[in-house]
Amino acid sequence: MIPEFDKIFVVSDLHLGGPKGKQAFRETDALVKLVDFVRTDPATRVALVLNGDVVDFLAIGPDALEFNPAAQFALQAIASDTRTKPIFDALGRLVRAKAQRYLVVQLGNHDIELALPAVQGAWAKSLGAPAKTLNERLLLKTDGKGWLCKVGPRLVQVVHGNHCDPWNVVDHGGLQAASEALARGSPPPTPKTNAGTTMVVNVLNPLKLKYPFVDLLKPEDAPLMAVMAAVDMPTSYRGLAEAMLARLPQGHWGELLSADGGTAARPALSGAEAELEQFLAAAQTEPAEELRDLLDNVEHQIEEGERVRRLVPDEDARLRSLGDYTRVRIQRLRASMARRLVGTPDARSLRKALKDWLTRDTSFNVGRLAPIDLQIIDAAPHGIDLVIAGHTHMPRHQAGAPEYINTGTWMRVLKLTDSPYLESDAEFKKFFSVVGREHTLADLDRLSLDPRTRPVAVVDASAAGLFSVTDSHGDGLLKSISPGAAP
Amino acid sequence: MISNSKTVVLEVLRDGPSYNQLLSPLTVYLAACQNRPPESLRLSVEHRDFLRWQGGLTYAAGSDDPPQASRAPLRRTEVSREARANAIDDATRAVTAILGSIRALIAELASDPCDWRHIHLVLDAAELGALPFELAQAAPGLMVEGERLFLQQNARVTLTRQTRRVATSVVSWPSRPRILFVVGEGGLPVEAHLLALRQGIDPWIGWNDGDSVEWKAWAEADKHRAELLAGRRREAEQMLTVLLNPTLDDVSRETRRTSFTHVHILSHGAPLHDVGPGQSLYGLAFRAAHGGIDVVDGDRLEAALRSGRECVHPTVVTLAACEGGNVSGAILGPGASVAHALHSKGVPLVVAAQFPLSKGASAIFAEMMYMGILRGEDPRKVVHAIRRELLVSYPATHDWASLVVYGSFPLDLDHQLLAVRRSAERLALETAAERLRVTYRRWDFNHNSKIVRERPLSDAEVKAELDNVNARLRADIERLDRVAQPISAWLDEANDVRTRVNGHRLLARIALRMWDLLSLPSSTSRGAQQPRRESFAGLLGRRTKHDDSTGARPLSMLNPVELLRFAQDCYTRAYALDGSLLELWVQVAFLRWMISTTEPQAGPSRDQEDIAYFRQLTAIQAMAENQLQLGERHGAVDRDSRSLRTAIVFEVSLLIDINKWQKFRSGETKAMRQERGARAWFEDFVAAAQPISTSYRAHMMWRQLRRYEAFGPGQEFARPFRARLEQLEVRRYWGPRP
Repeated sequence: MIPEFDKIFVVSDLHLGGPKGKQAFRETDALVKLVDFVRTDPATRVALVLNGDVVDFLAIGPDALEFNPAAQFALQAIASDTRTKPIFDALGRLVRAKAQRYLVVQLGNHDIELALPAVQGAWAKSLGAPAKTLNERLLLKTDGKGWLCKVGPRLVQVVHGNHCDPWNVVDHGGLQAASEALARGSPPPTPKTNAGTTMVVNVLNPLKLKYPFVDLLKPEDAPLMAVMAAVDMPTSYRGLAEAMLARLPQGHWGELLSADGGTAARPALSGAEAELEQFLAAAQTEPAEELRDLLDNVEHQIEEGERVRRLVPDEDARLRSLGDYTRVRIQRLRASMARRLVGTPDARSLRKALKDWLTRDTSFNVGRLAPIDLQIIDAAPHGIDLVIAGHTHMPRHQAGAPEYINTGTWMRVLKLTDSPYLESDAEFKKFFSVVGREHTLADLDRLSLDPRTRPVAVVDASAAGLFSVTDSHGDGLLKSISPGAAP
Repeated sequence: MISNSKTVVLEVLRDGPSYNQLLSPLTVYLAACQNRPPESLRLSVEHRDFLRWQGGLTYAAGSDDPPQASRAPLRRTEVSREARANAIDDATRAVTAILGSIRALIAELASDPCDWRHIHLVLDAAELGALPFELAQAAPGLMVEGERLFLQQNARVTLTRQTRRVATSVVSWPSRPRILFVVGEGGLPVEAHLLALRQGIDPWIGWNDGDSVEWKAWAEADKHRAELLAGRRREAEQMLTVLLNPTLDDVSRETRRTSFTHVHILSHGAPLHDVGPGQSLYGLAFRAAHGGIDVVDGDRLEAALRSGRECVHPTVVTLAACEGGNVSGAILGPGASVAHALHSKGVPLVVAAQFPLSKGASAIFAEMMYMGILRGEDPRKVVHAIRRELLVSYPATHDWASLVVYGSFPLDLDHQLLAVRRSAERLALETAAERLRVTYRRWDFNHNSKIVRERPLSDAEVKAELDNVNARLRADIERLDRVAQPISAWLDEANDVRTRVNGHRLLARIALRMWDLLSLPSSTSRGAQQPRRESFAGLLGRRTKHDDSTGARPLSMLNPVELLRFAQDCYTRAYALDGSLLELWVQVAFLRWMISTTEPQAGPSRDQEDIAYFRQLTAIQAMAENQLQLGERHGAVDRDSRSLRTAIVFEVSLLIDINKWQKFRSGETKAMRQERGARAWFEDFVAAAQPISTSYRAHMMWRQLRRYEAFGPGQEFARPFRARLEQLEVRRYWGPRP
């Protein structure tokens, strides 16, 4: 039976956790205020939904595992950390409140261990509520199918959204098997990992120690890769290659040389791959240089016995073994990356490339759905009136059938789009002097690039809206950020 | 050997201009095949059927728009497999019926057996040109009935097209390729195509791997590799010019500067805008001068490709672009596909795709095409092989039928190709020997360089480096054997004496160079005496004694003495074919002495042989001197011939001196006394070969003298002469032969 509520509040992607001084989340006060606001809301039956990636088990530091069967200890550490404890306390108050207050916690892709019984136990314990209360008021939704409810006349689906992102698909079957094995007391099988997790654990985490910006800079993909390439070429390049490697099989095979000269959209690459392609094309070096690199590259290929057929995508279908396939992919990426990102880009051309790129950027436009948002809408079951998702870290709201809200993230964001740092070389130098060498989160905070949006979706019987949690109190706490909302 | 092939010319004509006529059973055509009586021909195809199957063949079926209007790029997965299969079936039936109904053609195809039959289809009517004849099956009455006519191997048939308007000109097939690679606008498999072209010319790259790079230490291995590859790139650029995303103007500028023999264009096909009503023509997408895309038609491209004041065309143009050869949109009005236009304006061979070509297939096309034609293979046979390869590699497509060949070949094509093949093989063998020499030097250095190491190396480092060089050495040896083998195979069968003499001479020279490698100390080995290598086979621990298929032993398997015998054998055969070339005989005499010194044999017959040998030596000396004097008396000796002739006389004198000293140390006999000593002849040679520092003869003499020095008596006799040449700053390294 579908539960019914008078009002629900949805937040997502809090990404709680991380070593001291390296925590991407810094909105404890605002979040506590929001939880208390939910608790005291005049509506009768109210739910607060934490829609995935609430805690971040991949952010606990360089020792993070792609799958950690003993994540309960990490969760305990987060719940008892002075920076995040007030949140768990506030959540505890919420579920213990006398009125009908409910807490729904969904699985994301950075906290898949929440599906394990011991971790769920630790979560419940951290709220400090009696078991009976928890049974009634706390719902841990870990099957990845999303959570359905009715708010007034509307049928609402709340889903994290990673199921539509090929980089971050969670192996729920494997997770279920691991969970059952742990319940039996036998060693758990490791669920299949995904490219996003591999990238975080193997590439971003080591990089984040010295360069925390890599986790925060928006838009991701092409500009991020470009800055990474300028900052720490070998690591980013390797990581990029590995991550793209995992992504590419979803790419296009046997694409025809288009009959219209490539003037129409190509049978598109998708997501990061496409953006990277475009960005690199935009920031291309001089033709003469490129030609020289091409010719040098071909000499190396000849020397190494490279085969023509391995350089065209169609050939991959014929490469039987995965090992062979992987090797070829990596080799090819290396070749093309080495050609394009030759040397360290100088700050001036980097700034220019970023600025050119970002004039077309719509990452921060709340009304402009990204491909992944559209896929989430497409994947929603028939009859849903409202879909609420997270995962992309970019808040979105679009009316329609179904209506769609993405609740973005509460962690730090470095908004490069429209940033004054891109306006002149001198300004860019200020930015690059911070991110270009080892820095801390405090250094990044001083750049004042974080819009501190703190988005929350609020749905009641009459309407749904996307709000930002402000620093005010009472009724002024929520400020609408939906497109077309009154300022 | 000239292949057993036959060209069948089939001409199909009708009244009126080439355009503005739809396919219809009502139209009567006239088919003329070879010198058989012309026959009238009616098609069973309606234009409507043609348009329907055209949709499937261009992967446009399955979309909502009519096939002719919809040319948006579609992925193969989007095309209904069934629609495509039906289209292929229908088109196949239609073209099979057309070819099968021409009785004269069937008679020609069924006549005397031969290895290859080339159908040369001369068409003027645009609607016929649009038919995909490449899909045809063998008609009833042929041995291979029902099989794909242009794919089957039992009675191999190729198809080339030509329009009647082509200006027939004298085509001379290029033996020294100069390739232009033009890459158009948009995402294209540039790397794969570039690699394909570079691999095509690889047999001739590596001349200057060179002695300029000396290895001082192991630590410089990377530097050496970088220099080596940079050198090869420069060499490759002498043969291959790449234009990345140029405007048509850039192409034109480049062709004005250099006369290209082959042009390969990788580009997207794009619809031309200013065409007549009802027409849909395709051009190639180039970058426009002021941004945007310039869709270039065949006429403009042809003008841009003409080079120099004489407006010479490239001989071969290959188009790796979708529908570069599709003329289906040109039926209603004047105009043509890019390939058609290029060919009708005089480019002798144009190969293009009449349907969309997948990227993979385009790369295979470039790879096999250039690998074949640069080696002098018949382009029609190469395309036949490509079709078969595409059928194997891309069974889910009909890329194999997409290739269309527009060609007008000279009557003596086979002979011209043979000459190209010979020249290509010769250069490839010389290059392979040169590359092997350089690699061997490095190998040798690494084995002898303990004393010059700058720092102690770990065992792992030493092993890694040796493995690396061993692998390269192995690759270079295999390359040498690979290119030497075909030359040995055709040498005794070639019709032309000059070719056979040069072939034997080439093999002998290569064998001597390999002997040099194995037996002479290189300048980099620091030890006084370098250990003698048994052969490369021994060096690499190879077990094979001979090539199982032919029974012949590859060059690399021969030990030093066998190499000398091989060289002697080659020179003897060459001299037997052309007795006027005394330098060949001198080499035979020299090698006989070398072999006898290496493997002294005792016995009574030996003396007899020696005496005969001496007589020969003196006779040849007399002949050479005579030639020289005669020439001088008639004033017909240029400096180069004079240096060659004095070199011959000098070497014979040297051999006589050495032999005299060896055999008759106690005293000289009157009959064998020389009137003029080797020293005097040497001075004559030095005078003739001026300036020594740039003289190829002097360089060759220096190399030869080093060989004399490899053994006891030769050392004493030859050393002063070599020292004198070195004093005169003779060149010790010579890359490409003049």
